[in-house]
Amino acid sequence: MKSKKGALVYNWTLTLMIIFILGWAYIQFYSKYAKNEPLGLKQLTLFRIYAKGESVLFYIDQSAKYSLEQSAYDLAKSGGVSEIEVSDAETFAGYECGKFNDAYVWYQLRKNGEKYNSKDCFDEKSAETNLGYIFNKNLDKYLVNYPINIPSGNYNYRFRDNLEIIGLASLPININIFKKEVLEDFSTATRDVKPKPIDISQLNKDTTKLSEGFRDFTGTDLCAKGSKCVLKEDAFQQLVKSEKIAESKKLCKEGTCLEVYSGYRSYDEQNSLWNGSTSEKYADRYKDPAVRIKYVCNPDGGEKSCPHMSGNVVDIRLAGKTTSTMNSADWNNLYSIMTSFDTNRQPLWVKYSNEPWHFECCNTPRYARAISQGVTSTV
Amino acid sequence: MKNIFKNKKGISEFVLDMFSYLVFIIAIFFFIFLFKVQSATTNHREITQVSQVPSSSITLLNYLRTPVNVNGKDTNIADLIRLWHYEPEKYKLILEKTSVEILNKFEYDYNNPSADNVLVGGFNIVINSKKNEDNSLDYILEFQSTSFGSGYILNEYGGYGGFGKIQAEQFVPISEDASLYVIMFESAKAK
Repeated sequence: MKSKKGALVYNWTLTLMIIFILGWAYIQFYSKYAKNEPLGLKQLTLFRIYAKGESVLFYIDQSAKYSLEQSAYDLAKSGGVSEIEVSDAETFAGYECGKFNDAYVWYQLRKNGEKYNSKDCFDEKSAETNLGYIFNKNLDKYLVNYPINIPSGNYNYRFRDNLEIIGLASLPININIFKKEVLEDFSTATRDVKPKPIDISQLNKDTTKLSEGFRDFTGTDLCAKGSKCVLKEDAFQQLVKSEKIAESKKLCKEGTCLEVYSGYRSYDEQNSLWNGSTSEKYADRYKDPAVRIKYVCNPDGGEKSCPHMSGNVVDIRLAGKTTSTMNSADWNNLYSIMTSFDTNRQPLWVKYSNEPWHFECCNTPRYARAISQGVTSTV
Repeated sequence: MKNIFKNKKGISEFVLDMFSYLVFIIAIFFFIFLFKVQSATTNHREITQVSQVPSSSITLLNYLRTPVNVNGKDTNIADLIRLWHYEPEKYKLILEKTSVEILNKFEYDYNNPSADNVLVGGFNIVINSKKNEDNSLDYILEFQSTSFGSGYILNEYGGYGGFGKIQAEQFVPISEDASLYVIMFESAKAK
């Protein structure tokens, strides 16, 4: 710094730089800590979410208690047989003697000439499996009433001693900690809470794009409460188109018209159905894989035998209905919407003719076969 | 120094130098002040947040989980509410009596920063047939602890609010297609 001019410039530059650095530090500090958002808000939110979680668990516990009582009653009423066993016209898995005076026969004594042939018709071991199945169905009915989305069919059951049931959840209950809470205030005026027709931009925000081109829309209006809904991106876009068509046909008075209750199943999910980890206990009921395959597909067959594993298949119904409350007009409406033609003169979806709720799109083998045959429903 | 004052240029450079030092010092002090003020406000906010840690929902759950013996059978308040829902005449009295007893035990004394005297926290339970979309209440049954004061409901920030701020809510299952909506208000009044 030999020249005085240089020293002068140096002094001012240093001063301005220090001011700039401190100003920048202040802005950084301010933007981090001095927003309107109070300090510790995230931690506080965690406390609140913890309380919400406790609240949900309490509801589930109470529901489980009542469901178990009801299930024991239902099972006793049906003679230890659950409806899944009598759903097949050909065989009653583990149950062979049918009904007498509307009650299932446990022990059969048949006269054969001078002799009597006896036969044990009821496998007592199946009562536990059946109780688990009925319990799961009853519990789901409770859980679907809860305001937040609790996954249905989510528990693996173990029984202990006398009517003590332990449910191990496979999926967690998701509570969005980033969603800004609307605090309840009963003194405020009426809020407009009526569901609105599908809002694509909101739907994009509410859904998650997963890896490998999947879209998770669990918890949105297009997904049935308690269900896990994941589809391939193309299939998801087809679904949105179908929903728009349903709305344009004024199929629903308010809110969304369609409701997916099953979409993509991973290998593990399909395998747990196949190997009996779910409440249906297919593997226990149908030990012979050749029989079992009539009720549930083997994941080892891949997407070809288990189309749900492709991510291009939906099990769907009209919103607000269940498969048992859907009447024939409803099924017809659903079919007509889902198989509407796209701009490229191809149906959005094709139906699996054995299951009115099952639709496939986006070039699955069944879809391709239907297109080549010029039909919108095929086996 | 002598050299500086020998010519006018030297004087002006000296003044400018001094001025830059002055600006530098002022800037430093200004930012010290700014950061000081900022950190003081932060502490204040942090303290405010401590009072916001929600305990009401746990209190409500504790109330609903409290064991109670009904007709010789061990059960809890949530079950009793369900029984009362099915047979109101039979279970109303025991539900009210037990609830008030429990809520009285929940009452607590405390010092709130915004009040000088010791306060007592009281509780009010309201059972509604459902949660209304318009946020209006749908009272079926209500009971409160001895010290509950409806004019001094604690708001969600730990301060006082007017009537209407909900403290905690809980759905109590009744049947496969029905549940009751139980809410709890918490109040504070001078002891």
